[in-house]
Amino acid sequence: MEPTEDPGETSEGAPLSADRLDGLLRAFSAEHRRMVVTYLAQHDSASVEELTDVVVGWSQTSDGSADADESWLQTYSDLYHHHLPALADAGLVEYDPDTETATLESLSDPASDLHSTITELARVGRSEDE
Amino acid sequence: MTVRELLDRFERTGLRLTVYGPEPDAAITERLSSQHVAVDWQVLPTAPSEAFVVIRDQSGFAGVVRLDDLRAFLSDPPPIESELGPTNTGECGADETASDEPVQRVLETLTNVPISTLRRPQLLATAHEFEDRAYRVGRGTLRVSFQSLSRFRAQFERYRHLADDTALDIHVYGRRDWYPPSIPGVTVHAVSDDEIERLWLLAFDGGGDDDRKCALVAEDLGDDRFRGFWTYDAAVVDEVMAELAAVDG
Repeated sequence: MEPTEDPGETSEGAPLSADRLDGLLRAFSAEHRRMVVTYLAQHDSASVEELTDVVVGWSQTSDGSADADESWLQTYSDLYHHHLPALADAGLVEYDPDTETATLESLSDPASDLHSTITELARVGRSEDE
Repeated sequence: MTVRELLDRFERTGLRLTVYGPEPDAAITERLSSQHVAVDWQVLPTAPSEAFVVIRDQSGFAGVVRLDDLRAFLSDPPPIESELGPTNTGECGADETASDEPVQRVLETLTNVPISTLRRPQLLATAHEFEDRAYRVGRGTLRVSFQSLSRFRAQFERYRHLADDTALDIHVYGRRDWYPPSIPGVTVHAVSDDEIERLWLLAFDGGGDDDRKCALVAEDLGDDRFRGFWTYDAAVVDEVMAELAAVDG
């Protein structure tokens, strides 16, 4: 489903439409997508390769999974074909598969708050699981 | 983690490290830069303890480590004071106090640095420094793989002293092309493992003291050239020890 509004035009504190909220929740439902947004929030723009380094590095050092090479390629492919298009569909990221570059759109406050909240909830949930 | 994987982990040309974390760590950047390893830093709002380091080489992504682990890994080794002496003449009395400072300086500077152009004399000097250390500690387990037992022959008297003067449990590995006389305290393991035969390994468990552990890992590339590294990192030493112990069968 196409986003019905330009996130750049969302005014501060404006309520989210139900569709928009659903779209953001879907976009932020995957940890790797949240990681990408976290990184881009600091750097604006990054290559898919760099984002893969971040996602793989962050994931592996936090859960200690092995087989770095395989998961790097798999993660790269997932970002390229799945996660970055999903973030672009949600209007969060401008993604150019040809140049393999992702650039963060300016996040509305609700989108930014939602991202922070979900990231924090996931972090707390993870540490409680340990 | 096999010794081969350890070597591969260390043997990286065009090594570039990127630290992802909330704030730059000048100490680690300087330490790595001084060893000609390129380091840069990218802000990532993690907790400081979650900061990590991505290792890239010419072929791309090579691995990732926690920054905390790398920091501990690169921590300075304890000072080396030679007592056994660097020669292989068998003169290894405890009264020998002359130290080979250049060897020690090189060892300290290049600790944990992968080197692809090692020669046998450099490895021998390194091995002797580590044997000195084992001699000084006087207890614990020392495992040494000489590729072939005939290479052990040149070190035989030295190891006889090492065994006679200490309570060390010494294990020697190599292809069976020489039958060494038995020495109390030295167990000889004839190996037929091709991988072990290409490797020159030495690992000392520090007598149980992590601060005294050390290991040398080198692979024979032919033409008397080796690639390898040495380390005082207890975790890496443990890996090398375990790898050699597993050869026992």
